[in-house]
Amino acid sequence: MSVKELSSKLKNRELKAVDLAMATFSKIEATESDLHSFISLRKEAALLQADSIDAKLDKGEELSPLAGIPITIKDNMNLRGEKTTCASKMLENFVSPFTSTAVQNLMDAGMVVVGKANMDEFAMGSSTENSAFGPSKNPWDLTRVPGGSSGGSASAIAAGQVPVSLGSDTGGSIRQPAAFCGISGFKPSYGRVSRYGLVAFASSLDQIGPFGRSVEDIAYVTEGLCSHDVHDATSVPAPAPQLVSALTKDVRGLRIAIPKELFSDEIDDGVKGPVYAALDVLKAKGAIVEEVSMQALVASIATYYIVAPAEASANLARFDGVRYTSRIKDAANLTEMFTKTRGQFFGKEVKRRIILGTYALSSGYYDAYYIKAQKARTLIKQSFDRVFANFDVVISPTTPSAAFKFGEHANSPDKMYIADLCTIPANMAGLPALSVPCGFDNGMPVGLQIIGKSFDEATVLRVGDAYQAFTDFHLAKPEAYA
Amino acid sequence: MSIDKKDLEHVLKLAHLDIPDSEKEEFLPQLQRTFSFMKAMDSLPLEGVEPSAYANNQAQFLREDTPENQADLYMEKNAPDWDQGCFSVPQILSGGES
Amino acid sequence: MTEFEVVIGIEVHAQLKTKTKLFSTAANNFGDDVNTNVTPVCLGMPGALPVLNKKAVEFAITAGLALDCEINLTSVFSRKNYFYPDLPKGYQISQFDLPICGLGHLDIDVDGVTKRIGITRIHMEEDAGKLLHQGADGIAGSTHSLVDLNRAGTPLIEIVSEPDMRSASEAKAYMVALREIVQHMGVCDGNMDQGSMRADANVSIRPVGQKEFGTRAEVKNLNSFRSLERAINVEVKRQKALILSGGTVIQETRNYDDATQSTTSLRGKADAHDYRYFPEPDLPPLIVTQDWFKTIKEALPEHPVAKRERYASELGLSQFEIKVLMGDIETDTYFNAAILVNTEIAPKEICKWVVGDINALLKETESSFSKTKLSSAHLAEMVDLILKGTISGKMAKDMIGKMAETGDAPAKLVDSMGGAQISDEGALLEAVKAVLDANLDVIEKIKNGKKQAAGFLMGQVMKATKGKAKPDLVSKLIFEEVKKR
Repeated sequence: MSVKELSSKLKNRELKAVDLAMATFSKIEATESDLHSFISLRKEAALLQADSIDAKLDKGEELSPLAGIPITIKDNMNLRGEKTTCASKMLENFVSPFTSTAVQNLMDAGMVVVGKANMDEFAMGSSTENSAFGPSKNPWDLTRVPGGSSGGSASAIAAGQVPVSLGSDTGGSIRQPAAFCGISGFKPSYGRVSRYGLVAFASSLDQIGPFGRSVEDIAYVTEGLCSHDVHDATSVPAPAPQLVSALTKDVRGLRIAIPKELFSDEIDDGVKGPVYAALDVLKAKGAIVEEVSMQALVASIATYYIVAPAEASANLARFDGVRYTSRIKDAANLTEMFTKTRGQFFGKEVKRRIILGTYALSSGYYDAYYIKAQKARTLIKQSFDRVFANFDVVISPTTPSAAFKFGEHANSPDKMYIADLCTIPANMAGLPALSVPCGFDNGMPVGLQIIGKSFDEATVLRVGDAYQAFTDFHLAKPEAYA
Repeated sequence: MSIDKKDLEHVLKLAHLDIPDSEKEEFLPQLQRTFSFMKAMDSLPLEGVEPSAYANNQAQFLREDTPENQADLYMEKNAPDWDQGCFSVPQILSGGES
Repeated sequence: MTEFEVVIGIEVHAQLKTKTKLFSTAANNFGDDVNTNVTPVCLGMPGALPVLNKKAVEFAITAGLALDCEINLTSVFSRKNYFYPDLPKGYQISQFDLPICGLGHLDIDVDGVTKRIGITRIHMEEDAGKLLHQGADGIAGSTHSLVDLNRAGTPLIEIVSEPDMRSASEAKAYMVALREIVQHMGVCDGNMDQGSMRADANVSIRPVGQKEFGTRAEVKNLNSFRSLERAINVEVKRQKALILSGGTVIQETRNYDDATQSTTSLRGKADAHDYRYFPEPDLPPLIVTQDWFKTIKEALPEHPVAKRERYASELGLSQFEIKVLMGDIETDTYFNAAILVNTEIAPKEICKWVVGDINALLKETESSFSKTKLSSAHLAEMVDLILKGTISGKMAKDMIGKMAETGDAPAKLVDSMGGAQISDEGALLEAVKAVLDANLDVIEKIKNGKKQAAGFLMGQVMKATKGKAKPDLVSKLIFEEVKKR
């Protein structure tokens, strides 16, 4: 059921929030052993929350359309009194003393947080294989990854465990798992959603966003997420955008750019096919599609794998064994405590990226790597500026391939990095970007990416919603979880 | 230009990471392959381009100088070693150093 | 023998007097219980983010304007990366490439000669926490250390000078002048014993006449004027001895120990630093708008140089009085509060008491102008009583001690101290006439020109009135009466 349907049933009291929460936990309990979408559940707290919503609805209070709707949040978002593990042994026992602004906004709107979703450790990865607590599975094929890093948040939606969820997206960590799991996933503009309480991976790229079965669901949740937050200096001082009302299902005259760099040979034909077909649908409904060149995008991965690890190398320095992390036993001295704690409790991918980033910032390599990457970032931003002078959205595949098998890239993490090829540019330029399901490649879902102008969430969601009005790929469900 | 064994040791020291030799051997070729991607940047006209450190061109938001009360911060609960209201750390200097 | 010239540049860290920390809303207080002035930001909690304190920016700009610095309306924060238990995030947020203030200068007075010292820059940064070493007096030999993060995130400005000083006494004069500036501009309390102002000195020597600078050593941990002066002298001596014995100075950081009066190398501790500075992505560039800048300029407190001039020309204070007032912000604050109580009173009359008797009393009783019970309002009242002739100067001197002890108002004390001075002409005339009648021989002497003989009569009148007669009035009456006889 959609957020809108659930909301109306809750409001007219056909459905109780507590019953909805109970049903959600039943569904999770029935499917979780196969999927492992969650790191932790909070049944008691969730039911209490649902109960208080029911009390208000019984009294006829006017609540947000989100009130009583269950949601799961990625385990890198703080929620007071709950563990925030980031799927890392480092934070295995960390209980957060504060709540992320984004999560607080949704709870204030009455959403019921049922648990915390699995992810790649510290959001580094494209498969959830880097979770210290074991990977999540793709509901379409349990031998395949759900994508990452927000894989648990995506698999939970695809399997119908919860109606909506939150992920975080640094280089595609919402859109890529959305594509792999055949659902919708949205990264708002940088600055739209407060990052306060989101455990930082790469601060200049990270952004929280929702997953849902439909773009309409996403529009509801995004409206609830956005706010200006005085605890985040990059939060934009603007009111939350009106998104649900922007879903006009009209794409007439819409100008769509398709950058040839995002349709290169690295993209599987099995992916390109459904994407071109989707563009034909939009064209048939009155949109104008034109190919453009965005030369700077060829350096997206290079740029990303310097900028993100560089920022991460500093962001992860606080995990040092002093205040709230795990710590090795019987260290002989401080340095040993620092280095062995970090060596032991970080997973391999996290350590690789810390090494990458530290190297890129170190004396002698700073100009050759870090500064060069920042310049490339400028060119990527400028290339979007140029395209958006003449177009409303940029459309591309979300990922170069559909979901791959577990262990496929086990020994070559660098190959996995290619998975971010199409999603990275939007993070580099801080742009809103959406992935919607647009077909299948050998039975696995394929995603269509829609990138918009900065702070023009409305257009992006309008296009995605219109596409879902014209097609029904978003309604497809994996057989086992239908 | 790519990372070699000596660089790796230096970086591990800077990053305060003590990892087993087996990981160093595993990581080095992986890191070298990753650095080989970086050539892609050389095809771009980077000369004279201003570096961007941020996603948006925005001014920093500033807050007023007003104290806020804090709820329990779970310091003791989360601390690996808590002593007299403080986080305790092992001796900073080893025996021989001074 | 080679003559050497000493070259000194100084970096001063001054704590800003904000209510909250630089990037968190925790209280910026000294001396509270350990780990109480902290928030998730101060603790470097995962997910916590820094948000800059607007007031700290205003203070930094105020200091910059007072030092004639160029103000950078766009400035940038960076992360300085290193590991230490007192640094919760594993990096310090500081300004590196583009600080809030650029070139400026400060004029110092050395033996009556004014010398201009260049300011290179002023940048904002956060302080680290505090380590409490256990099992030994200091870090050496300690078995473990406790981390208190109350100080973590305290707002600092670092004021970096050009290498323009040529002696320890110039360095001290610079530090004194700088303290006066930050105190009087209201940005820092200047309490060096609490660490509110700390100096590092870059010291080098070169043969007289040589143009190039010698290799410098950075001497850290200079928390008083005395230790600054001593440390520089000690370090200069060390460098001279080293060079004269054929050695070379190496660029390093040295710690000054006031107990042994020596500097020691910190090399053993700090292995080849590579701080990997990069722009702090959590903080976009700091933009100071023209409007805001204008507001700050308009609200700028009076510059100490202007204040000195005003004290001399408008208030008529002596150079000594000005020196005492300017040398201690508490004294100056007290004085300025007292002169506002009653603007009829000439500030000079108030100042006399502030820099004189009260200052001496407070020193003697180890009190201070901020702690004493003798309020500035009571001082103003007392001076008013003197000027009205209600009490004598001598009575006032006694009164000060009582007021400092009890906090009582002067009006209340006048009675308990034996009543007000007799300034009623009628009442005094009786006493004067009685004394004259009993001393006819003295009247003769006075009439014969021995005017000083009147002193005897005066003494007799004072005796008769138990010292409460107003002396100038008695003197006037004696001469008037003598003339009549």
